[in-house]
Amino acid sequence: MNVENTKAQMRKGVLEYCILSILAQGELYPSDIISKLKEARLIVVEGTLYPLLTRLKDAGLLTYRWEESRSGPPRKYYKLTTIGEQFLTELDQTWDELSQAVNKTTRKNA
Amino acid sequence: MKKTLTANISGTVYHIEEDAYDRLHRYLESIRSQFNGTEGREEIMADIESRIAELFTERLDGRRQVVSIDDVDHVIRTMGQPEDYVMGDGAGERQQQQEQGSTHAGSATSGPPAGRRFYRHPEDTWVGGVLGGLGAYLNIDPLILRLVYLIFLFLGFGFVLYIILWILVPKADSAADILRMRGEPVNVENIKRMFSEGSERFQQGARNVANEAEELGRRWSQRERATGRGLEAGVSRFLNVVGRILGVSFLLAGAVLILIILGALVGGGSITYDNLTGLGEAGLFELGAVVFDSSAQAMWFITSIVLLALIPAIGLLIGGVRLVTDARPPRWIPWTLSITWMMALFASIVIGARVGNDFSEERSTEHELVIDPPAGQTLYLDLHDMRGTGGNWEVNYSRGRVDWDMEGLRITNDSIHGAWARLDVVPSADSVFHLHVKRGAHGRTEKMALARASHTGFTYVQSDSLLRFSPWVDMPRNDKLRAQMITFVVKVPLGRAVHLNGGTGLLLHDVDNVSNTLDEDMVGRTWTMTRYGLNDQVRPEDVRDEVVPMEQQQGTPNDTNGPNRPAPSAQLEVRNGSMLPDLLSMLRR
Repeated sequence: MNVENTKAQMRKGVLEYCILSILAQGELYPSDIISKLKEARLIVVEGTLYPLLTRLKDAGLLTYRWEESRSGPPRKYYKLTTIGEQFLTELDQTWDELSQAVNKTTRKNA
Repeated sequence: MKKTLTANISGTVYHIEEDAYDRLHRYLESIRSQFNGTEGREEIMADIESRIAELFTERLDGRRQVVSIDDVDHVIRTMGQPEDYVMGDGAGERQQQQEQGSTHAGSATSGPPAGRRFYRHPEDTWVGGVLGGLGAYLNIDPLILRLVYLIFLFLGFGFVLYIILWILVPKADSAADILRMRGEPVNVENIKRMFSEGSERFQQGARNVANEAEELGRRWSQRERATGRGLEAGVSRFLNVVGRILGVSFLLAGAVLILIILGALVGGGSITYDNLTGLGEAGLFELGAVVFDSSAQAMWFITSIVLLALIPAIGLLIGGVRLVTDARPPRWIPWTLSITWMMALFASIVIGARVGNDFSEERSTEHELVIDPPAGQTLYLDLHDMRGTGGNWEVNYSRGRVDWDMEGLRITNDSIHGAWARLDVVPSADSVFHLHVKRGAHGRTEKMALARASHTGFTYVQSDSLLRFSPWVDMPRNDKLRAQMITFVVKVPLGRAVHLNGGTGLLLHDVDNVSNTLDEDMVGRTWTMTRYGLNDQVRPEDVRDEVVPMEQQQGTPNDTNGPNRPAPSAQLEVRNGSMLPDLLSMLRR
């Protein structure tokens, strides 16, 4: 049991939830997602995002389309699928419950 | 002045300085190895490359032409170290797997690796790199290991062991694997150092990719990128196909072998053998008990032998599964199998040597038995005890069971009976029939062999001119089966004959005769002892008529060791000569 491992696991779950939430607001391409996550200080480096996107896409929660770019290679624009939306609704609920529970417990301990 | 290369990154062509290219290439390689075994690796890599291309475009901003090493460093800072890529991607699960001792080759983990791993060495290799890798793992000079291995090879099982390890141990095929093999943490610094050490394979690899990058000026489609890169991908795809085919054949061979071995074990419970009252059954272990010192020893020996055969079969199966599915078995499996196999080998050698030692000396005793002379010229020989067809042992395999058909073996509580007595017919030194019996056995010492030989029992019956022999060799059970043998020797005087009745086919063993007739073909005929040996073309009375004149003609009256002399010309004479006296004797009647 090491703290890095626990932190990584916690962040992983939250990251997936956040990516889905960000995409719920509209179609975005990875750089947009990255800047939002960086703003929120959820990630420091960009590399973290790519395997997560591929995983969520393979799980059927996301889908993407190609769009030509003026500068550089064509971009993948991601959006939620119907399953992804349902998934997110459930996660929203779970997150509320969890954050309440965590708040309650940690406050008691403090 | 700096040399620049042309690189195609995600469909856009960049001019890139050589040192920048090297750093970028190493960076991508180490990311790639982080995703070893991850589904969708190619797609992730394509996305990352795409992002890197964007970052370059942003940096160059139309003002500069060439990507420099600073740009690459900027990209690496932005994208993160290879370890960062898997932070969110199943890092927890992987960590757990690793803690359970799984050999998930190339599995990416955050933080430093737990320690060294056993890989096959990609460069320090004579055959498959097993010992090179073991050397790196144990931090021993592989040359020492190879010398030790040569000893194992001469002991006879080194080969199988090597094959098993070759199959089960993954090859270190990425920079990260090599670092893990050496027990060094996987990070960009170390990978960089590895390159500067001049690891030839990687330099070459980098050069190949550089050339490739220059050649491939065209835009790759998504699909092409996902499946591979040109020649390199073609070769790896070919190897992949070969691997799968090998894997399937390993799987099949392993499965069939395991079925046969288990079948033998299950069927081993029903060895059928002749009994005085019909067919009896005995377990493999009960049979073992009359060969081995104890049934426990028999059990250990048989178990060891089964394991010796079973473990390589399991190894084949695992290797097959690995080649077909890329799934790697937990590390303890090959270790346990190898250690068990070595133990089985050791046990079977020790027990085998003990039993084998009891066969080391052979002794036999011979003495004459009393028989009445037959009324006529001919002694009739036959089989006494028909129960037991004698030594006709078969192992049949059908429907997953092995039947050990051991006819002619009978085991009671205190005795063993084997229907394998032999009969020989030789010339007599004088003018009467003699019967000798030779009893032989093996033992640890001459004394024990002789004791066992004298313990053996045999049966023969005479009624007038008919002499009948039992095929059964009787021995005390405590003596164990130690190649006890009974040989009846009938000695026939010159000018007398033996008739071999039907039953003797079972007993006859390599009986000499002038026409070199095989034992089974000698049955049912009358054989007369001539001075050249047994002959079925002449009658006893002919020998007497014939022998004297022929000797006079040739003027060799002193040639009296005739019976044993193998002279082809003499045989011819007898045959030719035999026809005339035959006719003459018929005329005389």
